[in-house]
Amino acid sequence: MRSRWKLMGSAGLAGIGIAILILGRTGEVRGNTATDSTTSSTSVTPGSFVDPAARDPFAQYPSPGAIAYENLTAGEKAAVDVVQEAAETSQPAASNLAFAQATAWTSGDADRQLAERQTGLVDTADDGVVP
Amino acid sequence: MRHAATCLALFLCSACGIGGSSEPKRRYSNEAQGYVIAQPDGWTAWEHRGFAQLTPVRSKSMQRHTIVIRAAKKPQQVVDGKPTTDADLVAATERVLRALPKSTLSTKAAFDGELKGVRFSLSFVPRGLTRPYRREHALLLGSTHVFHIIYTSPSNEPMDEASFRTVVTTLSEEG
Repeated sequence: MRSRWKLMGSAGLAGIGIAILILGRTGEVRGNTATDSTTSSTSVTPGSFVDPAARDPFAQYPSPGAIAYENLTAGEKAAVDVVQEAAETSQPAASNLAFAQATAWTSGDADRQLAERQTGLVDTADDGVVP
Repeated sequence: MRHAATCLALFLCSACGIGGSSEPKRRYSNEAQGYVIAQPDGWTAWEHRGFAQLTPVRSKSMQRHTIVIRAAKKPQQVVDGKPTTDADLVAATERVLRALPKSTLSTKAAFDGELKGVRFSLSFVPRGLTRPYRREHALLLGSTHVFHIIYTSPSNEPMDEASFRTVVTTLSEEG
């Protein structure tokens, strides 16, 4: 009988201990939440966060065995210059031409579509065509 | 002798205009689009998706010939900020015709009928086909509407000019 009371007493003590532990944790979580909301409203504004660990997008990747331009010989520099000049002049010119052609075509097509609507001739190219 | 008599009868018939394609006998009226035309003989009219199409009846040599009639309300402005002029509509129509696939505009001439207008003659290659087609396009300028009369046929086949002219010169605005 005595041992039963002993057992019940120790179980009750354990239960009280667990309850205190849980309540304590709850209070801690509540406290943290309040702190977080205060911090976020004062120090961080949306869109302004910059991760300090993010990589600079303009930084060159380390290239194994790379030789700096300054360390090239005159002949090598000339060869590199030719390639760079071609990249800067030839390619953009071709790109500009392609863009100009696409723009002209699109503009002409827009004019055609507008004229078709104004005159009631939308999609009439195949009118009356018997193959 | 019998053959000669038949030839003579045919000659007389053609001289009197019997069986000719240019003499209109019926009128075709399109109330929805607000116009009336004298329907040329030998052609039948039917309506399809908001436009009228005339096709030759029982003519094997002209089975690819059609006359399409379209009507549209005159726009208030073609050039921004300015009321529409006839010249604006003619220019816009020409722009559309020049944009047809492989389009070659040969002539452009003004004419007078029930309504005044401009006729464009061109050839083009329809999408999905390889041979060129003729297109005679008459733009008629009504008071509230513009009308397009479009004759289409293969380029190498002679067109029925009389029938086209009948439609173009007799179209009048109604309603």
